[in-house]
Amino acid sequence: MTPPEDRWDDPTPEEIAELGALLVAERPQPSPTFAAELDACVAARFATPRRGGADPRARAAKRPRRWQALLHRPFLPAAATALAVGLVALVVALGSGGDTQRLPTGVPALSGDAAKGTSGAVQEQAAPERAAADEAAPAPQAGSLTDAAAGRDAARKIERTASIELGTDADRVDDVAQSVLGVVARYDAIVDQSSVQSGAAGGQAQFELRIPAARLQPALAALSHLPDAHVLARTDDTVDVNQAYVSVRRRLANARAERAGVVRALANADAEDETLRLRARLDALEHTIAQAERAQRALDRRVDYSRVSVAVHSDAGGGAIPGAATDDGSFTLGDAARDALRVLEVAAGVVVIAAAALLPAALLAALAWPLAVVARRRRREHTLDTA
Amino acid sequence: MTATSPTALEGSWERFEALYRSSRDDVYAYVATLLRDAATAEDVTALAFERAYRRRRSFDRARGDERAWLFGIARNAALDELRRRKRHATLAVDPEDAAAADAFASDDHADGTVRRTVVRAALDALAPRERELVALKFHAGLTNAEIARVLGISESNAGTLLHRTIAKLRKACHDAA
Repeated sequence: MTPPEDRWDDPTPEEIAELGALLVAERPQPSPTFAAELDACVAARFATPRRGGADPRARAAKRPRRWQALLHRPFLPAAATALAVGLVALVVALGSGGDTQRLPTGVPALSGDAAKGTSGAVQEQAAPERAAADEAAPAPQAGSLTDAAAGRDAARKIERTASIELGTDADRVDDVAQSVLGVVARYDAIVDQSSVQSGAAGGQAQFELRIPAARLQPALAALSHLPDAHVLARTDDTVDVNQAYVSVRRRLANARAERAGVVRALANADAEDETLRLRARLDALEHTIAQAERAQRALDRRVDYSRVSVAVHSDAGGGAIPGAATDDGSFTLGDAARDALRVLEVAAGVVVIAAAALLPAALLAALAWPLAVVARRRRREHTLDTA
Repeated sequence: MTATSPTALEGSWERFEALYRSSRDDVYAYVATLLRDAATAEDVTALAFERAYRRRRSFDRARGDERAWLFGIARNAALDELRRRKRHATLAVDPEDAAAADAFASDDHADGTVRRTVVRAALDALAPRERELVALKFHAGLTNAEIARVLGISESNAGTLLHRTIAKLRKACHDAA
């Protein structure tokens, strides 16, 4: 233990061994009592507190808390969050499976007056856009038999009319009215007249439409499946106007033929009396031809464009339709299923919002975890430096 | 200061019990040297073994052997105790504690007593980090690699620090003598 002064920084192995032996001899030894108590505690797998140890409250304070235990497993909260988000996404995806229709963009909006509940009329509102959604239009369902008949009677002149009465919630009348106009735009239909009334107590809307006959059935199917609306009543009428059409055509052809004869006779007439008589007859024929042409155009319009009447009524309030099929107030399994689905949708929405709020927090926590570990380690080391 | 068999099953009770039996006195010696308080050292030693038991399944052999892992837990528990002690401003160190004195000195040989008193004084004069190195090396019996693993430094750095500490301790012993 007395090396030369210049050898302090370079001890020999013997000196190290000698000093080591002294240090080992200075090694603190646990008391037999403590050793026995700790042995018993370990044998019991720490199920019971050590008798000679600190009081249970102090031991509990030293024991890592549950949230501290979570910090020792930083990926556990992140994995749990990811799992929760995945489940929520699954629930939302399943819950939205029945949502099949959306309003097309560019659907003409209701006028301000109509939206505010005052009556408004739209005359000859031509569909402004040829929607590219023709392929996406719902396939005809109820009208398949009528379509077959239409194919068979393609050569005949058939006038078709229809009326649909829709029911909806009191606060959805405006939305359903917008959806009706969306169908109008999609199928190049014409609004002859419209009226929308809405208010706190309910509302109603009325549309008189003209739909191209070739697209009548898809349009009726679309109107029957509007979101937030259900069909209360629907009627389809067909009138064979072929006889009237043939009659008008025959009358027109006869008048034209007679007019040609009168024109020739007029060219050959020498006498003034005969000329006057032929001119009077020619005027009468011109009037008859014009009348027949107007009748033919009117028939063409009725055949080419089917008139459809759409009425929307709120389920609550005074919108009930006499004779229409209405809810009798009984609670059916379908009602229960709809309510359950709605509850699930709301719950899933709440969970999505909560996840959206918690996910950034979880990510921040995961990112901050390494920093927290480093900070804790530095605090410990600093404690040793200042001990 | 015996080594634990590395072939035992990880996470099993038998492995933990073997680790406890081989390391109980070493852990206590290290913690007592670090804290310089026998009663607190007992509590911290018990706490370290309990933590090790609760976390035994998180032990990863790829990150070091079991003794280094156990001493890491004990070191964190001891440093937490030092922090708590500092925060509450209660000096638990009691050099005149009879029990501690008994624990630190059980040999009454006259010459040996003098030399050990000198060593004890030199040890107390060391900085806490240096005293910890001495405790890990000579009281707990860790290898340089294990010390490096416990302290989170390289093995060569651990050897260098240890060498400097021993040289400083020798000089302090000479000065005291």
